[in-house]
Amino acid sequence: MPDQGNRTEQTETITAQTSRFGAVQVPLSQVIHLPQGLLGFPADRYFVLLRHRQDSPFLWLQSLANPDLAFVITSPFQIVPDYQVQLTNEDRRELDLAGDDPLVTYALVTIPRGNPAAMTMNLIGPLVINGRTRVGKQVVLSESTYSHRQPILAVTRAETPAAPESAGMAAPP
Amino acid sequence: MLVLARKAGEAVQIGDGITIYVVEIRGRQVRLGIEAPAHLPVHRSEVYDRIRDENLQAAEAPGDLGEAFRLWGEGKGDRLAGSGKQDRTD
Repeated sequence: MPDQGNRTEQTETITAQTSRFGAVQVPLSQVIHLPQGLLGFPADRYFVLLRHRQDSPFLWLQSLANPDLAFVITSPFQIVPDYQVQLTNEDRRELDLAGDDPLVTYALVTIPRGNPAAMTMNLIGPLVINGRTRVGKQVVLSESTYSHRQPILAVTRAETPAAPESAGMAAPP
Repeated sequence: MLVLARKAGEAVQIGDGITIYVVEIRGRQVRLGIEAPAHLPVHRSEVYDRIRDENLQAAEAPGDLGEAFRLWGEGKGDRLAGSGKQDRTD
Protein backbone atom coordinates (compact mmCIF):
# COMPACT_ATOMS: atom_id res chain seq x y z
CA MET A 1 0.00 0.00 0.00
CA PRO A 2 1.25 3.44 -0.74
CA ASP A 3 1.95 5.68 2.18
CA GLN A 4 -0.73 8.33 2.48
CA GLY A 5 1.35 10.56 4.68
CA ASN A 6 0.07 12.46 7.66
CA ARG A 7 -3.46 11.37 8.52
CA THR A 8 -3.90 13.48 11.61
CA GLU A 9 -4.94 16.61 9.72
CA GLN A 10 -8.56 17.05 8.80
CA THR A 11 -8.56 17.15 5.02
CA GLU A 12 -11.14 16.63 2.36
CA THR A 13 -10.58 13.35 0.63
CA ILE A 14 -11.82 11.50 -2.38
CA THR A 15 -11.76 7.80 -3.06
CA ALA A 16 -9.51 6.63 -5.85
CA GLN A 17 -10.33 3.23 -7.25
CA THR A 18 -7.09 1.53 -8.17
CA SER A 19 -6.32 -1.94 -9.41
CA ARG A 20 -3.01 -2.03 -7.53
CA PHE A 21 -4.04 -0.70 -4.14
CA GLY A 22 -7.80 -1.11 -4.05
CA ALA A 23 -9.84 1.90 -2.95
CA VAL A 24 -7.57 4.61 -1.62
CA GLN A 25 -8.64 7.71 0.28
CA VAL A 26 -6.68 10.60 -1.10
CA PRO A 27 -6.62 14.22 0.07
CA LEU A 28 -8.02 16.55 -2.54
CA SER A 29 -4.72 18.39 -2.34
CA GLN A 30 -3.11 15.45 -4.12
CA VAL A 31 -5.40 15.54 -7.15
CA ILE A 32 -3.59 16.69 -10.27
CA HIS A 33 -5.43 18.05 -13.28
CA LEU A 34 -3.78 17.49 -16.66
CA PRO A 35 -6.03 19.35 -19.11
CA GLN A 36 -4.36 17.64 -22.06
CA GLY A 37 -3.62 14.34 -20.40
CA LEU A 38 -0.35 12.60 -21.09
CA LEU A 39 0.85 11.96 -24.64
CA GLY A 40 -0.93 8.82 -25.79
CA PHE A 41 -3.47 9.11 -22.94
CA PRO A 42 -5.53 12.17 -23.81
CA ALA A 43 -8.65 10.93 -22.03
CA ASP A 44 -7.15 10.63 -18.55
CA ARG A 45 -7.19 14.14 -17.14
CA TYR A 46 -7.28 13.64 -13.39
CA PHE A 47 -4.64 11.82 -11.39
CA VAL A 48 -3.58 11.45 -7.80
CA LEU A 49 -0.07 11.24 -6.46
CA LEU A 50 0.52 8.29 -4.15
CA ARG A 51 3.78 8.05 -2.35
CA HIS A 52 5.40 4.67 -2.90
CA ARG A 53 6.65 4.33 0.65
CA GLN A 54 8.65 6.19 3.22
CA ASP A 55 12.12 7.12 1.90
CA SER A 56 11.29 6.02 -1.62
CA PRO A 57 12.14 8.42 -4.43
CA PHE A 58 9.19 7.04 -6.40
CA LEU A 59 5.54 8.03 -6.51
CA TRP A 60 2.57 6.60 -8.31
CA LEU A 61 0.67 8.83 -10.67
CA GLN A 62 -2.69 7.11 -10.56
CA SER A 63 -5.51 7.90 -12.97
CA LEU A 64 -8.82 8.64 -11.25
CA ALA A 65 -10.83 7.55 -14.29
CA ASN A 66 -9.00 4.33 -14.98
CA PRO A 67 -8.08 2.08 -12.02
CA ASP A 68 -5.61 0.18 -14.21
CA LEU A 69 -3.66 3.22 -15.34
CA ALA A 70 -0.79 4.30 -13.14
CA PHE A 71 2.68 5.58 -13.83
CA VAL A 72 5.76 5.52 -11.68
CA ILE A 73 7.32 8.96 -11.41
CA THR A 74 10.31 10.43 -9.64
CA SER A 75 12.13 13.69 -9.22
CA PRO A 76 14.74 13.87 -11.98
CA PHE A 77 17.04 16.11 -9.94
CA GLN A 78 18.32 13.35 -7.69
CA ILE A 79 19.95 11.77 -10.70
CA VAL A 80 20.53 14.78 -12.93
CA PRO A 81 21.02 17.69 -10.53
CA ASP A 82 21.40 20.27 -13.30
CA TYR A 83 18.33 19.12 -15.21
CA GLN A 84 16.54 22.04 -16.79
CA VAL A 85 13.07 22.34 -18.24
CA GLN A 86 12.60 25.20 -20.65
CA LEU A 87 8.96 26.25 -20.63
CA THR A 88 7.41 28.07 -23.56
CA ASN A 89 4.98 30.91 -23.04
CA GLU A 90 2.24 28.54 -24.08
CA ASP A 91 3.38 26.03 -21.43
CA ARG A 92 3.15 28.79 -18.83
CA ARG A 93 -0.29 29.75 -20.01
CA GLU A 94 -1.55 26.18 -19.88
CA LEU A 95 -0.07 25.74 -16.43
CA ASP A 96 -1.80 28.95 -15.34
CA LEU A 97 1.53 30.12 -13.96
CA ALA A 98 1.59 33.28 -11.90
CA GLY A 99 4.69 34.98 -10.58
CA ASP A 100 5.46 33.07 -7.43
CA ASP A 101 3.86 29.76 -8.24
CA PRO A 102 5.96 26.82 -7.19
CA LEU A 103 6.70 24.36 -9.98
CA VAL A 104 7.07 20.68 -9.33
CA THR A 105 8.84 18.55 -11.90
CA TYR A 106 8.66 14.80 -12.26
CA ALA A 107 10.06 12.36 -14.76
CA LEU A 108 8.05 9.32 -15.82
CA VAL A 109 9.83 6.08 -15.03
CA THR A 110 9.84 2.94 -17.14
CA ILE A 111 10.63 -0.23 -15.21
CA PRO A 112 11.07 -3.11 -17.64
CA ARG A 113 9.24 -6.20 -16.50
CA GLY A 114 11.71 -8.76 -15.21
CA ASN A 115 14.61 -6.32 -15.31
CA PRO A 116 14.06 -3.48 -12.87
CA ALA A 117 17.78 -2.73 -12.84
CA ALA A 118 17.34 -1.37 -16.38
CA MET A 119 14.79 1.21 -15.30
CA THR A 120 14.94 4.56 -17.03
CA MET A 121 13.29 7.93 -16.77
CA ASN A 122 12.06 10.14 -19.58
CA LEU A 123 13.79 13.52 -19.56
CA ILE A 124 12.33 14.87 -22.80
CA GLY A 125 8.72 14.64 -21.59
CA PRO A 126 8.72 15.74 -17.96
CA LEU A 127 5.52 16.22 -16.02
CA VAL A 128 5.44 19.78 -14.71
CA ILE A 129 2.85 20.74 -12.10
CA ASN A 130 1.85 24.15 -10.84
CA GLY A 131 2.01 23.67 -7.08
CA ARG A 132 -0.61 26.31 -6.44
CA THR A 133 -3.31 25.21 -8.87
CA ARG A 134 -2.24 21.55 -9.23
CA VAL A 135 -2.61 21.91 -12.98
CA GLY A 136 0.01 19.92 -14.81
CA LYS A 137 1.31 19.26 -18.24
CA GLN A 138 3.63 16.85 -19.93
CA VAL A 139 6.09 19.26 -21.48
CA VAL A 140 7.74 18.31 -24.76
CA LEU A 141 11.38 19.36 -24.78
CA SER A 142 11.92 19.34 -28.53
CA GLU A 143 15.22 21.16 -28.53
CA SER A 144 16.90 19.51 -25.58
CA THR A 145 19.67 16.94 -25.72
CA TYR A 146 18.22 14.92 -22.85
CA SER A 147 17.39 11.27 -23.25
CA HIS A 148 13.94 9.72 -23.15
CA ARG A 149 15.61 6.71 -21.55
CA GLN A 150 17.94 8.11 -18.95
CA PRO A 151 19.23 5.22 -16.80
CA ILE A 152 18.35 5.63 -13.15
CA LEU A 153 20.80 3.16 -11.67
CA ALA A 154 24.56 2.91 -11.94
CA VAL A 155 24.99 5.98 -14.05
CA THR A 156 28.72 6.20 -14.48
CA ARG A 157 29.01 8.33 -17.59
CA ALA A 158 31.61 11.02 -17.39
CA GLU A 159 30.42 14.58 -16.99
CA THR A 160 29.47 16.21 -20.24
CA PRO A 161 29.27 19.95 -20.77
CA ALA A 162 26.38 21.58 -18.99
CA ALA A 163 23.29 22.67 -20.83
CA PRO A 164 23.29 26.18 -22.26
CA GLU A 165 22.06 28.91 -19.98
CA SER A 166 18.31 28.94 -19.76
CA ALA A 167 15.55 30.06 -17.52
CA GLY A 168 15.26 26.52 -16.25
CA MET A 169 12.39 26.08 -13.86
CA ALA A 170 12.45 29.62 -12.64
CA ALA A 171 9.12 31.39 -12.38
CA PRO A 172 8.38 33.93 -15.09
CA PRO A 173 9.50 37.47 -14.32
CA MET B 1 -3.16 11.72 -47.20
CA LEU B 2 -3.13 14.86 -49.31
CA VAL B 3 0.17 15.25 -51.14
CA LEU B 4 1.10 18.63 -52.64
CA ALA B 5 4.18 19.64 -54.64
CA ARG B 6 5.68 22.92 -53.39
CA LYS B 7 8.75 24.97 -54.25
CA ALA B 8 10.92 26.94 -51.88
CA GLY B 9 9.11 30.11 -50.91
CA GLU B 10 5.69 28.58 -51.42
CA ALA B 11 3.31 27.68 -48.65
CA VAL B 12 0.39 25.54 -47.64
CA GLN B 13 -2.59 26.93 -45.80
CA ILE B 14 -4.49 24.73 -43.36
CA GLY B 15 -7.79 26.17 -42.26
CA ASP B 16 -7.79 29.77 -41.07
CA GLY B 17 -4.91 29.72 -38.69
CA ILE B 18 -2.14 27.46 -39.92
CA THR B 19 0.38 28.23 -42.63
CA ILE B 20 3.34 26.05 -43.46
CA TYR B 21 6.09 27.68 -45.52
CA VAL B 22 8.79 25.87 -47.43
CA VAL B 23 11.66 28.11 -46.36
CA GLU B 24 14.55 26.33 -47.99
CA ILE B 25 15.36 23.13 -49.80
CA ARG B 26 18.95 22.07 -49.50
CA GLY B 27 20.00 18.63 -50.65
CA ARG B 28 17.92 16.10 -48.77
CA GLN B 29 16.66 18.53 -46.18
CA VAL B 30 13.68 20.83 -46.21
CA ARG B 31 13.32 23.72 -43.78
CA LEU B 32 9.75 24.51 -42.90
CA GLY B 33 8.31 27.58 -41.29
CA ILE B 34 5.11 26.99 -39.37
CA GLU B 35 2.62 29.58 -38.26
CA ALA B 36 -0.03 28.18 -35.98
CA PRO B 37 -2.14 29.39 -33.05
CA ALA B 38 -0.29 29.13 -29.75
CA HIS B 39 -2.63 26.49 -28.37
CA LEU B 40 -1.65 24.08 -31.15
CA PRO B 41 1.66 22.56 -30.16
CA VAL B 42 4.09 21.95 -33.01
CA HIS B 43 6.75 19.32 -32.47
CA ARG B 44 9.10 17.24 -34.51
CA SER B 45 7.21 13.99 -34.93
CA GLU B 46 10.02 11.78 -33.69
CA VAL B 47 10.20 13.67 -30.37
CA TYR B 48 6.46 13.48 -29.90
CA ASP B 49 6.40 9.79 -30.88
CA ARG B 50 9.26 8.98 -28.54
CA ILE B 51 7.48 10.48 -25.55
CA ARG B 52 4.17 8.86 -26.43
CA ASP B 53 5.78 5.45 -26.94
CA GLU B 54 7.68 5.78 -23.69
CA ASN B 55 4.45 6.70 -21.89
CA LEU B 56 2.74 3.65 -23.33
CA GLN B 57 5.58 1.44 -22.26
CA ALA B 58 5.74 2.95 -18.78
CA ALA B 59 2.02 2.39 -18.31
CA GLU B 60 1.96 -1.08 -19.78
CA ALA B 61 4.52 -2.68 -17.55
CA PRO B 62 5.29 -0.88 -14.37
CA GLY B 63 7.68 -3.67 -13.41
CA ASP B 64 8.65 -4.52 -9.90
CA LEU B 65 8.75 -1.18 -8.10
CA GLY B 66 9.67 -2.82 -4.80
CA GLU B 67 12.73 -4.36 -6.40
CA ALA B 68 13.50 -1.10 -8.19
CA PHE B 69 13.41 0.68 -4.84
CA ARG B 70 15.77 -1.87 -3.31
CA LEU B 71 18.21 -1.45 -6.20
CA TRP B 72 17.96 2.31 -5.83
CA GLY B 73 18.99 2.06 -2.19
CA GLU B 74 21.96 -0.12 -3.11
CA GLY B 75 23.19 2.10 -5.89
CA LYS B 76 22.88 5.40 -4.13
CA GLY B 77 26.60 6.09 -4.00
CA ASP B 78 27.18 5.69 -7.71
CA ARG B 79 24.52 7.99 -9.01
CA LEU B 80 25.74 11.41 -8.17
CA ALA B 81 28.51 11.22 -10.74
CA GLY B 82 25.95 10.81 -13.49
CA SER B 83 24.75 13.26 -16.07
CA GLY B 84 21.58 13.33 -18.08
CA LYS B 85 23.14 14.46 -21.30
CA GLN B 86 23.39 12.19 -24.28
CA ASP B 87 24.61 12.75 -27.75
CA ARG B 88 21.88 13.51 -30.18
CA THR B 89 21.33 10.82 -32.71
CA ASP B 90 19.18 12.80 -35.07
